[in-house]
Amino acid sequence: MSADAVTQSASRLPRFAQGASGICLNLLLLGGVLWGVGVVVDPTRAAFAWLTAFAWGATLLLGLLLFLALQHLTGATWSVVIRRFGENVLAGTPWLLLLFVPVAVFATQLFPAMGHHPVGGAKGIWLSLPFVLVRSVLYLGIWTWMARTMRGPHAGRRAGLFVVLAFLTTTFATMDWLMALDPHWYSTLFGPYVYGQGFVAAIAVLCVLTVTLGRGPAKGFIRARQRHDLAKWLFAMAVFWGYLAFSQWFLIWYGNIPEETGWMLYRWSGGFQALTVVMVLLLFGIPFVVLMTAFNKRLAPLLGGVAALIVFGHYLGMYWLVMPAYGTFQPAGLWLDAGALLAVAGGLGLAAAKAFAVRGAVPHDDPDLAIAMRPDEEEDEAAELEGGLA
Amino acid sequence: MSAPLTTDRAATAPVDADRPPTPGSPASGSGDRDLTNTVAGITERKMPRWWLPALLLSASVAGIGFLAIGYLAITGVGVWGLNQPVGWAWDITNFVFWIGIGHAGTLISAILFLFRQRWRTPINRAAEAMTLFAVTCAGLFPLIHVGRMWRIYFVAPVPNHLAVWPNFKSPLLWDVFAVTTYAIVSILFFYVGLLPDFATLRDRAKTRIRGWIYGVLALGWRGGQRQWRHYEMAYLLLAGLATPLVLSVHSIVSFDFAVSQIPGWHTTIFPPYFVAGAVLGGFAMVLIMLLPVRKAFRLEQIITPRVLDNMCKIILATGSIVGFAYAIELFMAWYSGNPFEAFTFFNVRVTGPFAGAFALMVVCNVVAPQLFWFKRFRRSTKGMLLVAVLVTIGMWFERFVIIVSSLARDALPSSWGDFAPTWVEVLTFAGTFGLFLTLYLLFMRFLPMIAMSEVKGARAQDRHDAEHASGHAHATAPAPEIVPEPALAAPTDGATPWGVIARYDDGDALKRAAATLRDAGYDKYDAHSPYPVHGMRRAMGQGRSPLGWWTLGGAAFGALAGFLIQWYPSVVEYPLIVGGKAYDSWPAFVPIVFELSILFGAFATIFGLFKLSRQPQLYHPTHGHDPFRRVTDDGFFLVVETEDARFDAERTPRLLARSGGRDVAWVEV
Repeated sequence: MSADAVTQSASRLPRFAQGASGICLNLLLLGGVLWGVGVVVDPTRAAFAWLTAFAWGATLLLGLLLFLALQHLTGATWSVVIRRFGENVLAGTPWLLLLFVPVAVFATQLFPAMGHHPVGGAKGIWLSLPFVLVRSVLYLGIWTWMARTMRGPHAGRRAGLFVVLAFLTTTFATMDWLMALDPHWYSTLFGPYVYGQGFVAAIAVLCVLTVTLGRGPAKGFIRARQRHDLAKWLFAMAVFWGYLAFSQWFLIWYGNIPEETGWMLYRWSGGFQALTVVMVLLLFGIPFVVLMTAFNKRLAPLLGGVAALIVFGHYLGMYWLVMPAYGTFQPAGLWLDAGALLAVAGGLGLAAAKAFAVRGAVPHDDPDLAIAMRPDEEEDEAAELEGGLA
Repeated sequence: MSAPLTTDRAATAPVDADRPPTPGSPASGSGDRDLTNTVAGITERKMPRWWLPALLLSASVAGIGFLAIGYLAITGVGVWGLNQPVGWAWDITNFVFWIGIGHAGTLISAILFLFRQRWRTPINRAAEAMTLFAVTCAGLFPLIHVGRMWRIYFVAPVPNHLAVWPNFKSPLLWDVFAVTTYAIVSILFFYVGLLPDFATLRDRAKTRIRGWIYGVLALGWRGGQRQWRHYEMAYLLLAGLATPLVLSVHSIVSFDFAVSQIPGWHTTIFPPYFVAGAVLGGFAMVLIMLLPVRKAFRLEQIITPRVLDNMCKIILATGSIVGFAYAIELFMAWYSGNPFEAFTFFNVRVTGPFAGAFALMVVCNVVAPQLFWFKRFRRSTKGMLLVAVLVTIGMWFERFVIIVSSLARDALPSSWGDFAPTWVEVLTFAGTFGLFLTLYLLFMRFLPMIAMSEVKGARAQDRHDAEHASGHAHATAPAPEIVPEPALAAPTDGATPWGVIARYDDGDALKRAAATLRDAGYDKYDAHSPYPVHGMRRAMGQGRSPLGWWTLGGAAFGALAGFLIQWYPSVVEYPLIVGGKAYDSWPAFVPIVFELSILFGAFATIFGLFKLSRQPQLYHPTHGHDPFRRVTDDGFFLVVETEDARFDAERTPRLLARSGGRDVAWVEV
């Protein structure tokens, strides 16, 4: 890491950020138009499509928040190089409040307990529109505050509190926004399961950024070691997600209690069956097989590819949770789902690109950067491996 | 070399008078020699006065426990308090309690290793030992619970060999596989970790018999890079296998309850929640056992306050996860709208007959660890001990509440019942504590309590990092001052020696010298060190160890075998419908497939390690070279065989001397 690398990275950044904002803006516009047309054509489907995309973005950002908080909490030095990537993506967190507006507007169509299928009793109050809205604003407010602090100088001191807060708010948010789509179904592992998936997706986003930026604005900072370490995390967390998913599904399958099993069974019927298979392949199967060896973990294109599949697999995972509540699998409305996804991804991407332009790609002022960038003999070997392959 | 990175009190370790550090040797500044003397010395000197009485006392308690088991065996399970409807209570609580204790050892040795937490090295040996002892205690309970324990072989999964059909869809059988695999893999991992330290004890042995015993146990370990290369990979692979294994063990234990439909048992959060609870209870036990030992043997500058601080943080984290799980369970009992769930949680546990035990478990497991948010408590040994004792009590009660309350207050009030332990049960449980302590005291006496080689390696890495943090780039370290060595006279008796040996000041010097030999075209040479020197593999031009392919092959075989031994009897030989599951319900086969793939993966790793590192090899010419004994203490040596094609009786010794080697000497055959 020399002054040379710093200047180089600084000179490439504006071009990269500009290009990324342009792409994201176009995605946002395209998605917004598609989804806007969808609202007119089929408002209910549009609402479900939006909730899917919103849940995808929100859980991903929360996964990122948890990952960064854990890095601060454990005083990790290896991740200093890539930390700014995550902080910049977190810039989209305040926009979640705006992205939540369609969910709030269509809430009565989305959540049976608020509309056509009242639950009654204390649970009815818990799931009523005003109460859920109050809680949602609370979650979003806490997340915005955490994301802002996480990008500031006091992140280290607050990290412990953030881990606790992120866990609690995300658990209840996923129950309110996703589990309540079927007000009678419940699973105690639901929150950790969804959060685990968001966590994998967050690391996958970091991997994609590391591979992409490592060729441009962060060139000279990203080496085989950073990719290898991230790939280890990605591998471990993909397996951990598989563990959580299997645990939840397996216990419900084995217990075979009608009020629980129906939820799973419906996701194993019609078009959702294929969706389940693809989702498990993208989130667990492919990463498990491909990222098993150290050699593959260090191959930048492979890591980037697998990570991109995981980010998409996370969307499928959200689709798997949300869409069966809408009805049977209807491919005719897929363009609408895509519109919502593009709009959310474009919006969050735009915020991230702006943050990259303002805050740079690498925390140059962090004293731990020197430790993270220290030379390593094994590194040269990895570089040789890659050279030999190319 | 800079001082060790630790900011703790200055070293005051007792140093053996007859093994003074070599003056002027930079290695002595690393503290490696002090460490060896302190740790290995414990197994060599007389034990302190309290040791023998403590051993006798704990062995007596264990003996009483075994008497209680004997009484159970000759009388019958009726001497326990079990009856309808509470058929699982004291014994299964103890089983889950003890198996959970073991999880801390695996977390420290495997998971923290994968996370590169170097602070773990001073405690991982003792914690791993506790894993083995805890699993021993745990395994007793299912064994005696079956009643006629001398007929335990009936549960062996051999279809119909005794007219008993093994039910592969039962979590109890999965548990047998999980716990057995866990015990075996833990032993293998423990043993692999001990190899370099056994070699240290061998090389320090003052009596023949002692040297012989530890020599056999060390399997001829010489600390050569050609061994380290595979050893490091084996350690990594075993850690990689043990990590999912430890998750699976307590998950499968939780399946014992969670696959059922009993309110309070059937809940999806059980697997991760049980794992977190196991780690919590295990860390508490490690603290309880380690704090007195640390004081008694004055290990304060090895098991530093920072280590304890981190352990407290893990207790805080897992205690909070457990608290989260309690809260979610209560919330979901209300949210579900299921009257049976709500009744179990609110009318049986929170209030009702188990309210006291429930409150105790919440206070001990969730509230007490919250003290560790404050540094004051993480730095006070008394405070730590207090929280650890509370957590141990709380974790026992947690299992008791889960297991007994759901059985005692079932969905049908007419079949409610209660449970009270009998004196036989209480004594059996007390006996397991005696057994655990007995084994632990013996471990202290005969095995190095601290993983010496690993601590040395971690300290070297810390120094390496400190140099970079302080801005001294590694590459610009000053070249060693070359001391002109007197020329090595050719062997006089005319016999060709086996090789030539030279000592180096530290790992970096050894690495540079090895690279010199590599560049000069040598290939029959080896670099020996007390711990694996980072970057040595490259300095010697070695590739990555191929051991991983052995592991993969073993794991694949285990998975296939695990599937077939379940599929064939369940589908072809004796197709039976169990629990409403189809014959070929593959999900029910997953736990055993997983366990066997881990088990065979570990076996293959060990066999591969022995094959690739050419062990056991009890005799080697270098063993005859007396100064070489320091290689398992703080010595760094380069050995070149005379059989090397580039070997030259004059040039090779000179090359070694020029590259910084000292005490260049011949090694006889």
